[in-house]
Amino acid sequence: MSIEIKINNDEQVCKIEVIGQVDLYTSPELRKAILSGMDKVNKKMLVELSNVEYMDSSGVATLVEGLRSAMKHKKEFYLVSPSPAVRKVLNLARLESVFTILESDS
Amino acid sequence: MREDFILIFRSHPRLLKSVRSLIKSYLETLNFSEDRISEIVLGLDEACTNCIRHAYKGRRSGSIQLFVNLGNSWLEFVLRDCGVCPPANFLSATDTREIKSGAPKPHGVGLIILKRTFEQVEFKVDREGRNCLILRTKRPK
Repeated sequence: MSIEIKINNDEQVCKIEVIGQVDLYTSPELRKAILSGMDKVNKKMLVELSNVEYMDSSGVATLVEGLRSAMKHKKEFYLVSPSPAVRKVLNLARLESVFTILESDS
Repeated sequence: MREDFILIFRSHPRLLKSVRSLIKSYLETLNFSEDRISEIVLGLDEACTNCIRHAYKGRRSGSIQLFVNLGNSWLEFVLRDCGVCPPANFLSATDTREIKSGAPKPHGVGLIILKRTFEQVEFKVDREGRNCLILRTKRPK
């Protein structure tokens, strides 16, 4: 797989760091991590995307699904430091404004 | 237009990374900007992803043929598959309003990207009954 996912969570905050390429082949891994993290965390989900070399629409759809799940369960969902590749696909999909984007997780 | 190369690959998502890599290398030889290369690679990847997800319904043994044709002003990609034919209006059916509304739905994003990436997008069923998606972009001057 050309993706690595690091998960760091406590009761309040779940931080998922994504490294590599997110496409149709690898996005199920990301989906699993986000939805599993969403189950465990009470307040906030951070998805750190600074080391994502490539993301396609299946990656975007996974992020949208995470956002929808967070909205449904009244939790916060943030994208952190999206790489140029992530910004490019969000921009082309006209979805930048749908997400809350943080420049850092601090 | 002259045919520069044909790529035939299985409808397995694992192969998409290799296809992207090859297309990126090819585009670099045509003097596209780095930014434009990343857009074209993304758009073509979306087209291949559509073949796998929708035409072949996730089946990994289908055949996808990618023809790359180069003209003086245009670069053309023709993507052929033998999967399920999409609805007649599928290229015009997508809209971002649904996604942008309060409860976004993760559908149709690939098609939006595809249409925003290429100057010309056409779909037809060829004489052999294969789905045929034609994507054209202008070459850099």
